[in-house]
Amino acid sequence: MYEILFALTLIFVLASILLIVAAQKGLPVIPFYLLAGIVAGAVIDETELLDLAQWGIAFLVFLFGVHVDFESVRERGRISVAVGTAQALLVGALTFGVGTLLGLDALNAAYVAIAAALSSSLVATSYLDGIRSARPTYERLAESIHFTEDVIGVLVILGLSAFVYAETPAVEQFGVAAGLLALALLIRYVVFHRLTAKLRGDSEVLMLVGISFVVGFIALAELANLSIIVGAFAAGIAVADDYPHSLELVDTVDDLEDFFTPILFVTVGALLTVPSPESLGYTAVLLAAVLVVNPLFVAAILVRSGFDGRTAILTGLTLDQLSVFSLFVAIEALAAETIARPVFDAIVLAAAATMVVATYTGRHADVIARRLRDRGVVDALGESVDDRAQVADGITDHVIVVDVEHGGWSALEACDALDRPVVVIEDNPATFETIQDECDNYVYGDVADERVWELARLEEAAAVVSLTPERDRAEAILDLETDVPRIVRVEETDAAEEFVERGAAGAIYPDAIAAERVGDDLEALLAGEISREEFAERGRRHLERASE
Amino acid sequence: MTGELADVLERADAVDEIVFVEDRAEYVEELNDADAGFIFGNARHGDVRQDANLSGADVVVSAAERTDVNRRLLEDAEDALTIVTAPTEAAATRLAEEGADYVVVGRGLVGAELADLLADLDDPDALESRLAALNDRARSGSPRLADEAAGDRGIEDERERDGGETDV
Repeated sequence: MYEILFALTLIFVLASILLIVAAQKGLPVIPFYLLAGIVAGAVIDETELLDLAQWGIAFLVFLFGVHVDFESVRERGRISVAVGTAQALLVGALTFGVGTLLGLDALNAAYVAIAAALSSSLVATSYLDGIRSARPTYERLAESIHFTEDVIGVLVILGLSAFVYAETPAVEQFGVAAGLLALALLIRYVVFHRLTAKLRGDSEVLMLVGISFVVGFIALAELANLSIIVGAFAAGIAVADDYPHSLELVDTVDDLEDFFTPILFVTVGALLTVPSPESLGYTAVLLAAVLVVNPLFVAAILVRSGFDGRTAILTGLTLDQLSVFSLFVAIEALAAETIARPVFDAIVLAAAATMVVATYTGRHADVIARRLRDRGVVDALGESVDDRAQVADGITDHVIVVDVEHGGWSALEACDALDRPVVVIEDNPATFETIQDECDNYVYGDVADERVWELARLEEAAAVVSLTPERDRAEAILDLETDVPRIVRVEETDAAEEFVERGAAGAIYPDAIAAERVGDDLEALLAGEISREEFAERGRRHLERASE
Repeated sequence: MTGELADVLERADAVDEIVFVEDRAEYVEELNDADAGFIFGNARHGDVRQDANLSGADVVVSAAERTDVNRRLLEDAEDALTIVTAPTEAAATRLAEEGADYVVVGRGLVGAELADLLADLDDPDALESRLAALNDRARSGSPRLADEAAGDRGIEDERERDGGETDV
């Protein structure tokens, strides 16, 4: 007990100190957590570290299970399952072969393959903003691909438990795991609402309910000789993440994330060792697979499935880190003494390295995507714009609207009423289907692609209206070498100042527009010029306009 | 938006007291220095809502993008005039059904503004004037500041927030 408490104290003290440094310098926290781990690793015993890492991963998997958005996964299920599965199988097979060629036995080559094939949503989602209204296509795609790979991760852990760690193959473990998940779904859809209805608003009791769920399911998993990860995942599924539980319980258990996230990253840092040449070799294989092959392979499949190059590259870049499931597999294997030490060390080193790299690529993904386009990588992946464009010959004095879904339909109506032609540029496949039905002129593609603008006949246009909330896309439009006036949406006042200085004819700041329109209506209400009913009616009219 | 509407309420002398709820550290100093009341925290927490005395509020303005938070605000402030934001049309419809007086969906208002702007595309002077007004608003973040150049009460920048919650 003393050892665990000492380890936790040391982890949090070191993490806090380095976190303050990171916050003061505005730097990403993950490298600092890893650094804290390297220091802590010199003092804390490896057995404690392995236990802490397993529990940290288990609780994060529980939280991942809580936030699984079944609707979102269903929406993009087919393409995401296909991409996630194809990438995992291909990269897994490839690295299994490389591992075998390097002299590893089948099981250790499989450990390398698992580590290379799976990516982590638990790290990636920290870069994806879950509540923002205007979530770009790549975020939604990435989320469901990660979900696919996490499910594969659970199945891999289950498979290893049934066929490798069990004394005799135990196929029935799959049945028991299915039973546990069925129990979780039963609780989610039948029991959970009734239970929490009785506890409404009592956050302390709800926190206890959340912890009881995860501990209870983990205990059930242990009782059934299953991995604790399966129990944690089932516990997460059992908690319904919808209103009002999203406020009362989910936000409460979310606070646990702040506790377990440092534990995970610090323990990864603490498990790092000075690598042997053999270990460095395996690490190189893992880094090549995770940092280069996975992102490019996923991007290539997406481009060939009809997504634009930018969306494909940005989605691929969210896969550039080792999965915590792979880390968990390696830790379980070490405990079972079935993994060679150089392979274990390589997986830990690759996990730490890719966590750091993912921090960088997560922050600069848009710059990387533009550079890859400039260097011809996107073209090499097979992007083709011409066959998804329809623009009338000789069109002139038209308005080009980018990202019509963010308020552009009204602009299209206005142009229609004024007999002014419009060309719509879009990169969201779901919206593009509607555009094909509703609009005469359109181009599907990336605004950083010069060909898109050629097809949209930029030089003959009267104006460009960009409604994209993504800054890098707005900047790409500002960087166009043209005299055509460009009106761009901004998300903050500083960007408005900067964009106007960089040549934007107009800056649309939705918050300011909303403030003015709602402020006018509120003033009229308070001055007695309109009734409360008329005030509400004006609000409804804005809403109807948004729904058109 | 919340700061802007707070100005409107204050100028009209419509409420006795204004309370801001904000959980982002960068606004703490500014809000602490302002005349209005301020609670540091997130309205998703029951104790924060309780401290803001939602059930006794006459007007509630929320710029929270989380629909579940806004639903709970509507429940807690049943009799208040409520103005809330919504990230999607579906969420907006839900909030309107649950009693919000006025639901703000950014894209609807942007669309209306654009329609006006495009109508002036063939009239260079009118277009220039409209673009200048649009840019002034975007730079200041506040239409009334741009119009009046008013030195109000030191909570102007607070209007730039998105995602925070404000009860008025």
